[in-house]
Amino acid sequence: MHNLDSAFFALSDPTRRAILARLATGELTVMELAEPFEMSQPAVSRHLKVLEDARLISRRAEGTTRPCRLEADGMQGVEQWLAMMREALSRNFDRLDHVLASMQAETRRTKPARLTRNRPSRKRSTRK
Amino acid sequence: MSALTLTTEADRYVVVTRRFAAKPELVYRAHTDPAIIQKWLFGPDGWTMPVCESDARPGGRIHYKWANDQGHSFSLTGEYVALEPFSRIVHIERMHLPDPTPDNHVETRFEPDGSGTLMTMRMTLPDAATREAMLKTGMADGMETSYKRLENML
Repeated sequence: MHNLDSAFFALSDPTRRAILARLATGELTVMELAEPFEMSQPAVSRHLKVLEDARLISRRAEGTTRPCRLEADGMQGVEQWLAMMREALSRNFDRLDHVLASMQAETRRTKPARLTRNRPSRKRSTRK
Repeated sequence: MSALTLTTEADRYVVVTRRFAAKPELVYRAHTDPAIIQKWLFGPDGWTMPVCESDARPGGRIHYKWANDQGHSFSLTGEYVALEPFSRIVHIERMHLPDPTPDNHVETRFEPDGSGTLMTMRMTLPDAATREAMLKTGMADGMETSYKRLENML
């Protein structure tokens, strides 16, 4: 299972987002990645480890270097699914807002008491 | 209209929160009464919910079916585990795409929030295969289309 929490944690850091943005153009080594950041290679390596654990990037061995590249699938899968869920739920709940408004109108017609004043003393409809 | 939050928790859950401008009793009923569920739980334009069964008691059955105008359909079955009117619903559900997805354990809470309700829904995080299957139902495409339609209207 793709680890969503680690993906979100990985994406929460601006340096790691910048690293991902740079990798969008292609493979880079740690040294190349460290260049634009005022950061030591070990510090960049720690960020890369986080990104790798979250499966947002992968690394392969090439001689003494380990070039990094984006794992587009991992990122897309999570983002697409979350976007779909957000969209589906938002639409349903926006529609539910309207349904609730008409249910409230119905309640007001049968019970003149203002809803904002209602204590939970109204009879409980046993929905069992 | 209120903002939805959608976050992950402890690698295992997806937590959704949403505020509603109605008392918990009404929001709870809207989540358990099939006649009301059928009015809102059907996703994007072009999809309808021809089957909506909800037997809101412990062990009671849930059966939803959605269909779109292109002849696609999928269903969801489940069982209620626990119900505490009007504050908490625990149920298990699975989608049939058409193979059943792993059980999704869902806990939905309704808390008074001013004159409205704060709903918190915690569900099992689906695995990659399930996410893939969900995306493939065409729900994503339909949503994209209707979302664009909405943007054009604004």
